[in-house]
This record gives sequence, structure tokens and C-alpha cells, in this order.
Amino acid sequence: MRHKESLGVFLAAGILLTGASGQAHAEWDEATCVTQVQAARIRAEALPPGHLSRKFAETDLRVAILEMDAGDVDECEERVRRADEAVSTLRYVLKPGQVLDGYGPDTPR
Amino acid sequence: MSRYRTSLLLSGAAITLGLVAPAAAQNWVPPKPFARNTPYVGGDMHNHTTCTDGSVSTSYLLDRTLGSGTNNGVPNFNIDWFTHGNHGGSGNRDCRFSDTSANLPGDTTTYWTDTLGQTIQGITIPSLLGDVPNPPPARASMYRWQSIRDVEYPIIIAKSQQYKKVALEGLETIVPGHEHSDTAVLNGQFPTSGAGNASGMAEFEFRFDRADADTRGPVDGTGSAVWTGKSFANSGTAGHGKAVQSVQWLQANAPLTSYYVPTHTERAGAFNPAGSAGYNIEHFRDFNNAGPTVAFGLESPGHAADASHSYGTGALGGSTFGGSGIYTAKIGGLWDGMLGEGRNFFIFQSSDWHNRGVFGSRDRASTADFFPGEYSHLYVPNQSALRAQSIVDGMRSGNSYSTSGDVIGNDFTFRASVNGTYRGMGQTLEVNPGDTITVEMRMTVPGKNNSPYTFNNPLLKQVGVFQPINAPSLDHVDLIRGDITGVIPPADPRYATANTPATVYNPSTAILTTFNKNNGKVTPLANGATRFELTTTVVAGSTPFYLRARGTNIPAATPNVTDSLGNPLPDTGIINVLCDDPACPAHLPVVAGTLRVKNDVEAWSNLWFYANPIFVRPAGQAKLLVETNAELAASLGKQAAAN
Repeated sequence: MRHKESLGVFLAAGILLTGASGQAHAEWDEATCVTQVQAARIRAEALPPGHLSRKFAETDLRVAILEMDAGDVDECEERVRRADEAVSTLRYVLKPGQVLDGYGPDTPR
Repeated sequence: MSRYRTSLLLSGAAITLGLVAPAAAQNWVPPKPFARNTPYVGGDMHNHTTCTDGSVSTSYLLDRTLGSGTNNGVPNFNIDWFTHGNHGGSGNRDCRFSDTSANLPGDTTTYWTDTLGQTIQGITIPSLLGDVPNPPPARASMYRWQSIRDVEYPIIIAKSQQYKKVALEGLETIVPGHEHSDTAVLNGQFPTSGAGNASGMAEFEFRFDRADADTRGPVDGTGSAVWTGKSFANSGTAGHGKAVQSVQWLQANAPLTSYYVPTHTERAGAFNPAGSAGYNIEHFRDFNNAGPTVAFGLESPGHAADASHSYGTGALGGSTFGGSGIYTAKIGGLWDGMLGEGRNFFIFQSSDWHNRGVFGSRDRASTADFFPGEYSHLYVPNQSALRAQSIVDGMRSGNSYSTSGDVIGNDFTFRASVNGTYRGMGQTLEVNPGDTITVEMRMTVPGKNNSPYTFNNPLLKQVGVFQPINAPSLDHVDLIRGDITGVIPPADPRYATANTPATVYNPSTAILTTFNKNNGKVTPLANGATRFELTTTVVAGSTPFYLRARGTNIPAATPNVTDSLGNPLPDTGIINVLCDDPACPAHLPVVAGTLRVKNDVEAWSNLWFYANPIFVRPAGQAKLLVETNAELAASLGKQAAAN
């Protein structure tokens, strides 16, 4: 879908410009984690609210903060990387009219 | 009285002096012992809650794990035994509550500083202990030694009694200089009378966890620290030295009542002498040398529904392989290197439960983890009166195996015999050169597992096999043989080997026999289950060796999944497989316009089991380390009984 492709290119470029991937090999601390999560969240929120790739990204970013709170900054970095990957690749997509099915009461069929 | 015992008594006194309500007494054997008439019992030792980075409360985790039937309409997983293995360090959430993201009605994220002084689930936390200001700042963290001792342990004991199942307090410790390690210290948890405590586990966490920055720990009635002498050398080579000290501490204080099993060992890459990363083979050798009855193996990764099983780009091997790390999955790899020395070094698997990714905790789909007992099982021998010590004893013995997706059930037999003498997993069969060894395996493949999906397995569909994804199957079982060439001493240049994915640690290791429906006996049972009976013979030579087994539902040479020998390929390649059934769930990734196999669908499609080895030694030759370490455990047991 052309719209998706162009949005993906835009977001990938944004990730490169904001330097998230450029810091992949630097040591992160809690401040870096918070800053990078905030930046990644802005990139995720560029997707429409119902976009499944945004949901995946936001899930990873929520976990990133939990990991930081639990003292695992390395995992924060990995989760930010994954969130950016979800946003740049847009691999998670719902077709028009399709709903997320969790096979349980939280996301009912 | 040892210093250790003294500190246990002191910390126990601190509890009874009113810091928290003491846990109810629990005998070694629960009042109405859980009794399941099966050879093995399945459990889990690695799982998380809101005490650290998990999503659900401790109580909810135990309810879903130990309970049977349903919980408000969603299935429980009825596991036989449970060890709580949460991270070390600290956490700011009150784990008597689930995270809002878990979607549990009425449960919202709650912080310790919201609930101080309140009695919740019978537990009152008056203050946050250690290096925490009093009053604490909003959302201040509780150090894990406190939550282990004062929150998790009493809840675990209460749930153990409620469900009449064995449940114990453990830890996934964040290891100095390395990744993580599953551990448990039973000392104090199950007294024959009176109130128990988890102070032994808590003290270990305080002293040795890399993420625990507390400098104080608990104090006695005079305000003096109870646990003194903590080191903060947490990184690189010095950190590894502290990790070895932690194993020595377990060996000295809990030689039969603890274990130390490094987990997701490839995830952080090779060891970094100037940081904290992964493990090389010399580190496992150091641990096994320092703790011959406590450091006896490693754990394959959990996170089975995660897109990468948590193994990112920095993982050694770059991926998991059939859900296992390369140390386990590669024939001739690190595990075989340890076995080639005759070491007691065994493989285990658990869930590493945190959350269900984009789904809520009551959903059955997952893009992250499965609950304990939902997907993986760590099987140890059953006993007529199963108790916490049985779990540790079973793990230490090597008589255990691990499964994913219920590819086989709880009645596995793997034994070798000569002239009527039988030996099983973890044991050593004495033979004479030229003896014919009979090797037998018996196993049942259940008719159904916990998959919520019923469409045909997309990995098998590639090779023309149409098998419902929720009906496990067994394509073949590999019997794997490797030479034992003796223990490598630390001064030997081979002790520390370059750690790369290409490293072959035991070049003698090879698949000896592959069993399938053509050379085994296959019997259909009721409820869709299938019984496999496999027998072969091996002629003994003049040198020792070991036999281990693995099995899978995936045939050899299945595109993107297995090679021509049946070895698992990197799981990163499974994204190439289409999930084209109309019932494939919408949360799978889309590549080139088509849904691909990933996350939980990949997990339910790619099933494996790993069985620990049987050792074979020619009579008259020096005993193997696995034998002498088992004898050490037996001797320590006799000493403990005599005291």
C-alpha cells in the first residue's frame, strides 16, 4: 500500500535523524533510556492510533520503562530498538475492518 | 553455629518482631500432598511479577499457574510445582497488585509508597528498608531482598497451602559480570515446625545480585547491619569473581538446598571482561568447580512467543534455534563440551513469564510470553510425598527433561542397560568393552496442548504434513552420542575457549540414531495421544561416553526450520514461512503482503524436547565427575541427616 510505504520511509528517516540507532553502541543510563523512550514514543505516535505496529511499538516502550525501573537499562535499549523497528518496518498491520483477536476476554473476537 | 545460621536467626527475629506478619508454618510435605500418579512432575522456575518487571501480581501468577479449571473464564495451567524466579535488584510496584496493562478488572498499577502501613493479603509493609529515605519519596523502590522475604514468600506459602502443591521462593539473579541465573535457597523456607522464612534467599540476593545497590540490608535490634561484607565488584572479570564467590557461598551454606542455573546464556553475547555480558564455557566450568552440587547446568531461553525469544542482534548465534540457544541446540556445542568432560551439567527450560505483549493477561494469544505450564515444562521425578527438596534433588540428579508445547508428556523413559543393570538420565552405566548396551525410550505425545489455534501447523504444511497446530506430534527422536575425554583443569589452555557460534567444543558428538515411525513402535492411545517405544543397541568401547536425546515435531530438511540432519536452523528464518490459513491470527507480521509465522504461532508450530544424558564408563576406569559429584551430594545428605 503506497501510503504505508511512504509513511514507513518517513519514519525510518526520522529514526536515523534523531540518532536512536546512532547510540546503539553507547552505554545507556536511566536518563538516556527516558530520553530515548520519549523520542521513540513520538515516532510511534506518528502512526494512526489504531495501527497495529504502533501498538507493538508502544508495548515495547512500556516494557522499556519497566525494565529501567527494575534496573535493566540494557533491556530498555533493546526495547527501544524493537519499537523503532516496528515503526520503521510496519510489519504489523490490520486489514480494513479487521480487529485484533486475543482469543480471550481482553481483546475479544 | 555457623555465621550463616546466626544471620538467619537474626533476620527471622526481625520478622517476628513485627516488621511483617510471619509466614504460616509449612511442613516439608504439604498437609495433603499433591499426588499425581506419573513418573515425572512438570514445573517452572523462571517467572516474573510486578515485584520486578512482570505484569501480574504474585497471587494472580500463582492462581493461574497452580490452579486447575478456569479463572473467571480463562484457563489455569495446573502445573505440578512452581519456583518463583523473579529478578534481583529493586522494584517500585507493589506486587500484591497487577499492572494496569495486564487488563485485570479492578487491578491497577500500585506503588509501594501508595500502600505503606496498609494490610493487604495479610501482609503489612510499614516501611521500605535498606538505603531508602524514611519517609520515602513517591514511587520509591523496595529492594528485592525485602520483597523476597516479606512479600513473595508469605504469598507463595499461602498459595502452596491453598492448592496443596509444592511452591518455593527462588530468584533470577542478575549476575555480576554476566547475564542472569536462576537460583533458589530453600534454607528456612520449609521448617518442620514453626514459621518459615526466605531469609536465605533474601541474603543471597542482597549479597550477590548485580542490580541490588543497597548497602545496608536488614539491621538487628541495635541498628547494626546483619549481612555485612557485601562487595560491589559487579562488572567484567572482577564481577565474574564475585559470581564465583556467590556459587561458593551456596556450596558452603546450602549444598543440597540450592541451585544455580544460568539462563538465556547466549542473549548478551560472549563474556566481556570490561563489562557485564554473557558467559563463555570457562565460566560454566568455574561455576561447576566452585559449586559441584549447586551449579549443575544451564537454562534455555523462555519468552517463547516473543518475536526473537528475547535474543536480539547481540545474542551469540544471532538467534534461537528451535527455541533453544546455540549452547544447547548445536551438536558438539557448549553443552556437549561440558558433557565431554563428564561434568554434571544439565539442560532445563522454563517460561520466563512476564506478559503477553500486545494482549492482556487473560487472552490466550501472546506476542511475548506464556504462563508457567502453558507452553514449557521442566520435568523432575515424581515422589510419593513430593516436597520442595524433591524439586532441587531432581534437578541436581540430572534425571530431568524439558519440553515445549507438550511435544511429549510426563511419562518419559530414557534408560540404558547391560545384563539387567539399568541406568537413567544423570546416571552412569558401568560396562565392559564389547558389551552390548540396550538403549530404550518410551514417551507419550498428548492429544492436545494449550494452543488456542486449530488450523494446520504452517511449518509442517511446507512439507505436506497437515497436522492441527493444537495437536502435538512427534516426527522423530535423535539419540546423540559424544565422547568423554576427562575434566579440563583451569590451567589447561583448552579451559577457556574462544566463544563464537562456529566453535566446536566436542567434535566427537554426533547423532547416533534417529528414531521415527519406521523404526519405532507407535501406538495410538485414547484422546488422540500416541505412545512411542524406541529401542536400539550400542556396543561399548574402551572409553567413556554419554548418550542424550532430543525430539521434535519437525522433520529434517523442513525449509527454514531444520537442516538435512534435523538440526534446528536459526529461528530468524521462520519469518519466511507463510501463515496462509484463513484462521491465522491478525497479529502476525506481514511481509510482502502475506502473513508470516511468528510469535505464538511459531511457538506452537515448532516443538522440541531435550533429555539429559546417560553416562557410560568402562569398569575399572576412574569415575566421572558426574559420579563423584553425585557421591558428594549423597555424602552431604548423610551428614545432614546425622546432624
